[in-house]
Amino acid sequence: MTETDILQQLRDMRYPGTIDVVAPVMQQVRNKPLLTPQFNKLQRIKRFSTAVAACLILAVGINVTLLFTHNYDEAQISNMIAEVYNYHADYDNMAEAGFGVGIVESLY
Amino acid sequence: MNEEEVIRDILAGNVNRYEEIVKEYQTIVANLCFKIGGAGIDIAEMTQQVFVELYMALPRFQFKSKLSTFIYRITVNVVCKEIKRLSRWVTPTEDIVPPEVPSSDFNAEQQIIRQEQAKQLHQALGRLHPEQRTALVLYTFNDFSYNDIADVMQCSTAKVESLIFRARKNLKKMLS
Repeated sequence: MTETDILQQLRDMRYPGTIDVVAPVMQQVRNKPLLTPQFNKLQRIKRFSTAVAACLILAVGINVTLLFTHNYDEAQISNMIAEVYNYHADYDNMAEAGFGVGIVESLY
Repeated sequence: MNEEEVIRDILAGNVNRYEEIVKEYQTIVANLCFKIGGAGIDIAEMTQQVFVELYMALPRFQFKSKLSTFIYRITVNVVCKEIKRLSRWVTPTEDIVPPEVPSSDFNAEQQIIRQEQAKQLHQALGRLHPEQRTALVLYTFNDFSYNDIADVMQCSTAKVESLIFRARKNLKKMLS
């Protein structure tokens, strides 16, 4: 077979069966909401906000871990946390700031 | 059919007009699926999947390129994904059904030879690397230019040239 024959045969090649997918396709697309550009934008914003929130949580987690793994004394840790949260190193205020009771108790 | 008007209508919520696009392109898509994916894949299912994915992708269509190019790109992606999935357990190149060829210009003997050649060609196509096969099929499909093929395959024109050159060389070697 020459190269011209090969290319010509490739051009002539057809799917041997008949195809009619209109009904099943229409049935499927009628059940799918079309994702408009506005919707896509909203989804992107949502994904971005989730990523930012995850980063913040991670950053706070790392900071707290670092505080506890360094050899700071209790007073230093209390001062640092209190400073960060703009609270005076007070047991109740710190508990209010969201620290678990166990953590606050361990600091004292 | 004014494609731009139909798409804008669909995007505005008139889903029923999508039928016009499916009717217009279903045979072309099935042929492309058959040439790229071979008889080892379910052509009807692939065609259906292409049109469902096209529908979901319509909001992304920018009206800068032709709708046909957009459809071919989705078809190539869908079929290549299926080939990758199937290659894990089955490559039925030996059982491929010989494709039908237009018979009006040939007598009975020539027709049998051509059928046999078409079968061999189809099997040889199945042994090509999927990228080479896709480029070569698109090259002979609607007489695409290298730029059109690069657009559909989302690669450079130089890569398309190289893929087609290697595909032709390999096919010639397999069929000589």
